[in-house]
Amino acid sequence: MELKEISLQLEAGRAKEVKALVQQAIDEGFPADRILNEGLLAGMNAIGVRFRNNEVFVPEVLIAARAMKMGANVLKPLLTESGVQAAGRVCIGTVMGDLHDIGKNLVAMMMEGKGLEVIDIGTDVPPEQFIETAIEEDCQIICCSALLTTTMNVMGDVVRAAENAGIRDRVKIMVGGAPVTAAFAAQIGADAYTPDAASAAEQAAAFCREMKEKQAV
Amino acid sequence: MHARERVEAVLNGRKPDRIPNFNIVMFFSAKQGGRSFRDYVSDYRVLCDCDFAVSERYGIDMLSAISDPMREAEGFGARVRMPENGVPYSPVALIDDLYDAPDKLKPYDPYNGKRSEDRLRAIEHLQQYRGEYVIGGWVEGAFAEACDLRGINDFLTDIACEDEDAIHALLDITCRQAIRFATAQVRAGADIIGIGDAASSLISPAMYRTFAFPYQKAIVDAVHAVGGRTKLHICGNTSKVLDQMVETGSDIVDVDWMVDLRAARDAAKGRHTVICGNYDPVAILLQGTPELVRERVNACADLFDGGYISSAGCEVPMDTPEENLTAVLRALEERGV
Ligand code: B12
Repeated sequence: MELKEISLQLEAGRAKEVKALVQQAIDEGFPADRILNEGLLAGMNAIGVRFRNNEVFVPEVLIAARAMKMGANVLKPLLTESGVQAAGRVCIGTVMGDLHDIGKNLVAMMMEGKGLEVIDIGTDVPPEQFIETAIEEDCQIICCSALLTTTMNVMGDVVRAAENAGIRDRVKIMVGGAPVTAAFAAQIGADAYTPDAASAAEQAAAFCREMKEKQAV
Repeated sequence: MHARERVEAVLNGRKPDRIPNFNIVMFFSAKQGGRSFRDYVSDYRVLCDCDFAVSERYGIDMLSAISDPMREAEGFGARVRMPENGVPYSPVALIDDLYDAPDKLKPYDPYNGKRSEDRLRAIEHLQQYRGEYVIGGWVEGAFAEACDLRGINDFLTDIACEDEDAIHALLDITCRQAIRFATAQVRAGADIIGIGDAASSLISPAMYRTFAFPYQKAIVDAVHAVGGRTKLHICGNTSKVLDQMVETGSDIVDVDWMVDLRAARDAAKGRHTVICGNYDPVAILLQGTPELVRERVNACADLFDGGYISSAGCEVPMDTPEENLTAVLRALEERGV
């Protein structure tokens, strides 16, 4: 078989097929990290790009992500065994007063699609909870989503809470959601803003690489 | 002309004295009236008093009994939380398995002693103003209501991979209830029923055709059959389904700010559909200046020669400066038609 078959089925959201193909790839002796990268993550990347280009819509991304999760579950024991580590840890939530979570969920899924471990703390999240989670779960990145002009200011509170807790130099803070702009992100002192889920995942992966390299030297 | 004559004129293809103003006020209205949003969504007297005052002051031509999406879901038995100053929401979806929907969801009389009835009472209460104003009712579209009951993330997943019959079974239930609620509102004295189908802006045109369009059309037809009119309102970017929105036969098609208003106008060509919209509620009303408001209100209106009602793309944000909403009315009065 070719690993590309996995990514194609994943793009079509066919969870059962993805699960079966991952098992087949394991049985045929493909290394776990290749199944992950060339099969699952490649498929998730492709769907993210098509979503960004308005070729597919929210439902298609949701089922692709579900297929990825099912495939990843089959692969998980092997990944742990072979010592493949998550590329980084992220905690993500929608800020206090805001219940919109479709965009946040897509961002979380695309980040998982980049091999990051994502801790989703849901909606209506107070600033302190972002910080507590980041500390307890040892996250390199905090992601805040807001869809309302009335709630986007809470993201500034998250940045300040991180400063007050003394973790600002250890975590990157990313912000997004429809009303958020790069200018707003800069103004509140966040590290990055991106307009869509695919680029959010790319940015997060880049941050994690950067931080790993820094640690290494 | 007063508001009713003005709106009737546009709907009947005649010239009004000025373009009607259909801005949607909910949070803004409660705030202006000095009431909490919880009071506004749970007591029709509060809603009516706040809305009447705001409509008089800012020249809004329809008095609407709209407040939040959860009235119907609550009637089906969903647990609904009502924050003091936030939108009511359901912390756990009522339907945790799509296939259970037909067993769990029982049709109900909208005069249910709860907030469905409260909306009907609002419409009755607003009848005292019907000599001058048009009276608006509101229902969730079948697709949006299915999202409210099942959870939007889960339902959007369902429609991509579950059995089509099961999806239609749920939509059929929410559609029938919407029709029951909408026709009751017409009988209570509503002239125009708003059909809010927000979530349908998140799906492909093909899915819209299968899961949103037929039910929107069924609600429109049912309202027409009892002598009411409709306004189809979908938040978000509906550029790819404008033709379908028009095809529902809704008297008014209300589009959000992400839509090119020219494209909406063209989609309605050769039909009697009135287009409503669509300056940006946030960038223009909330964050703009009176001068910018005037410019954008005119830029939208300039695209039309009749068949148009002015409004922001969606709800007027709560903290909109008063002078910006006043600027809307000024601009409309200044330009005439
Ligand atoms: C669906 C929806 C709802 C649903 C939400 C269901 C849910 N579980 O999410 C319901 C019905 C509950 C709802 C309620 C309300 N809504 Co609403 N809603 C929408 C709608 C139609 C779609 C939002 C959406 O999911 N978009 C699709 C996703 C994929 O896009 P996204 O969230 O922007 O995410 C993408 C990017 O922004 C980015 N991203 C997102 N998060 C992050 C985070 C990071 C770190 C990064 C880097 C990137 C990133 O990546 C995502 C994927 O590419 C929009 C209109 C629209 N189309 O924008 C209005 C909209 C957001 N809602 C609005 C309003 C006003 C409300 C209400 C106040 C309305 C009311 N009075 O009832 C309430 C508020 C409830 C609350 N307390 O939160 C306004 C907001 C105006 C404003 N800017 O302030 C909008 C824009 C509609 C409008 N034109 O007025 N809504």
